[in-house]
Amino acid sequence: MKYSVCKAEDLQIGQMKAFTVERKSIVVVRSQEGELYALRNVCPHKGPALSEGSLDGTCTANEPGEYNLEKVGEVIKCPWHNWEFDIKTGCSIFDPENVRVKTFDVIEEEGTVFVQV
Amino acid sequence: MSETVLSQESAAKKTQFKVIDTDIHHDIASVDDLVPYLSDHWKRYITEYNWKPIKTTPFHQVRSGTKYRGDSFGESKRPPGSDFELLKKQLLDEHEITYGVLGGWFHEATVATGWFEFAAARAAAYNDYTIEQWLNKDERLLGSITIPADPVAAVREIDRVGPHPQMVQVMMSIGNFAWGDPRFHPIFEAAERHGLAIGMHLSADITFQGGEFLRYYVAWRAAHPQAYMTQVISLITNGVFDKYPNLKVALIEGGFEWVPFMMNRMDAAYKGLRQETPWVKRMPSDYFRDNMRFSTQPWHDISAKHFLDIIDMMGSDKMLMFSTDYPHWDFDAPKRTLPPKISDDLKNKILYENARELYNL
Repeated sequence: MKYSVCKAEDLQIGQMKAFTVERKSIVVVRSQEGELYALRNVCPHKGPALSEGSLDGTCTANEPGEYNLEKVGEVIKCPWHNWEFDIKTGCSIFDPENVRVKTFDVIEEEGTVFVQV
Repeated sequence: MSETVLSQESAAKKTQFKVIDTDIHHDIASVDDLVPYLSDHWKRYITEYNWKPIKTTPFHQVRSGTKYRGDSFGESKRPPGSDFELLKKQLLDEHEITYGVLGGWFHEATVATGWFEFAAARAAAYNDYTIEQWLNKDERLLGSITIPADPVAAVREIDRVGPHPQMVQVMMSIGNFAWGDPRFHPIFEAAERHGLAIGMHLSADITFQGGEFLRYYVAWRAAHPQAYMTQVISLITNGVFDKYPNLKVALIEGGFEWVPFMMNRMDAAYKGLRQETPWVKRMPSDYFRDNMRFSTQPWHDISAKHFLDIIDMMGSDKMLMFSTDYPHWDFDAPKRTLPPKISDDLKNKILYENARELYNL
């Protein structure tokens, strides 16, 4: 089912907002490129709403002392224990195979944002 | 937050436990909050000389406001823990806390290495702030007495605010010195005399054996239990529990899986080295069991089996007390922390009974 959640202009670049669809809390995010992504708005660890956390980037390195800033605006950090999730895949950064949040399809049509649930 | 509330409500339907949170950090928004509680002399240092506490640990490493829960700033954007109404709503009401022990976040006055006169004045002002702005507003809240490290001034402060019915412990913040030293014993004597427990919680000032700060927050945090080990070793070997056998010490936020290791290690050493500290009359592990309590946060996501093994190795199910560490980032929620498969009796002891007994509630 396709549910309209907000007007496209209500989600600017770098913003995320929580919506309740079919009793599920879903966080919809607009990336730096303007793309929309939707994830289940519950951290799989202890349960707080991811939308209360921060939309941020993350870092990688191959050597001590190195910092490569990556995925700017594409990582949600949980408000409690800072677990990081990729907004595009829902996968955690620390264990992408086993720890992830569910993602949903998002469509932007004629100025309205729809989530597929 | 609606989803969070729903999931917790559904979890609560199983068995409803009473909860004592043994580690809450209420705070001042700034040192200006202390001004109404300082004498005209000490006030000037804040209002005219712009005195500020020294900040030693570099926080803010992985996101804005790393040290705090991201949702604890509230709409007013006050420093987390400084807004009574938000703490009441977000912690006491939402998580149905029966009693909450405020430990504050004012260790700087305790670990200050000099100018104890001003440190004593700040500690006293912080205690008066805690009583007036927190304890008087909610009967669920219990207090910890902030003290300066100077024993004479510390005892004076314990005698001054210790009789308050909601004050339950003396906070001996952990810095870079060990509290078991005989010069601090009058503080234990005063606590015991007032029927108060001792709380020990790390300050931002701790460094580590062989490593100082260890460069990174993640490393500094991982090493915290080292500092707690130093304190318990110091208390036992200096005979604190032989002099004050009824004294109870709560070690807050220092972990607990290391406790059976240290009990065994100290017992083994005592057998051969006892002659060096002959005033220590019992096996060290006995003091752990009878005189010390350990808080559960930060919880390590261990299995029920491993958790029960640790309790078994401790030889007592009365040593652990639940804590949230609100509003800090590594908060543990009472309904989402202990392994679901442990017995209701053990859950009740950890969530409520062990702290109730410690604090005579």
